[in-house]
Amino acid sequence: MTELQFTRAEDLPKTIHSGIARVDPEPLVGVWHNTDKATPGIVKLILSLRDGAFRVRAFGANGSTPHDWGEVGGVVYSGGVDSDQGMAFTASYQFGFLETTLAVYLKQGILVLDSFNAFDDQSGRNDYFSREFFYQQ
Amino acid sequence: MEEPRYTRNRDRSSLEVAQSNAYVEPSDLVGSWVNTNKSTRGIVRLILTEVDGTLMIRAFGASDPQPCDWGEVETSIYSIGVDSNKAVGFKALYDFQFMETVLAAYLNKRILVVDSYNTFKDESGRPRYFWRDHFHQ
Repeated sequence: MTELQFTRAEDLPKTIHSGIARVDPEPLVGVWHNTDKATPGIVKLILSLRDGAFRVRAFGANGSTPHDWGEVGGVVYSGGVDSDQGMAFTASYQFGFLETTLAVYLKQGILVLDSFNAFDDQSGRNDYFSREFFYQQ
Repeated sequence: MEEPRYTRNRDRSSLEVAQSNAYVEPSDLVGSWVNTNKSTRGIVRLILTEVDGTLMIRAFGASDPQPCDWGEVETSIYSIGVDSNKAVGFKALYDFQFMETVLAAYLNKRILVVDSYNTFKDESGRPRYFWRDHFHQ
């Protein structure tokens, strides 16, 4: 049997399998609200499954009517090579003038969201990072 | 002049006169970073350098007897807000052929928090996984 390739010790599982591994996104699915009611960032996330595919819909802070970013696909990650339970995801929004990458993980029932935002509109705004926390009702 | 577009309130600049050119300055991230956990199974060390305004990263994965040198790749850097020029976060992509690792990192009180989102492409049965490491200088 061929030895597994790895980049660090954590890449090596306790049990060897083969084929394509699936990560169950169920622990992430639901409606998530920002813990900060006055956030200038993302106010709400709807994480869902459609035909087995993980979907992300985010809403940006914008007065009394949040800005609906629409739905995009997300990629789900487990907590390690020996786990199949989803506990993190990434997703990317292309707004034309701005690209936002969401890098998100679940910790003790709180969803921790990092967003990496890169402008492409010559507006002089700097690319920026932000971190926000979400709870499920 | 056309009003800059936005996706959430955080995208708005508070400057009366917009910067003519966006620029994020990486010096706070530059240097050699060592994992706070001496027995990590993830990334043991990072070297961040600035080359012509681009932040480069060289990571070393936990492996016996020698750390695994991942080589050097470019990063994209991010400030803490649209009006800030100081880098506090970065993203980088390592493509190892058999797997792909996205690093999403930010600086918090001189601790560099590095999340890795890892996807195997070798049909070894290993699931995508998330991993977090903390580094000091």
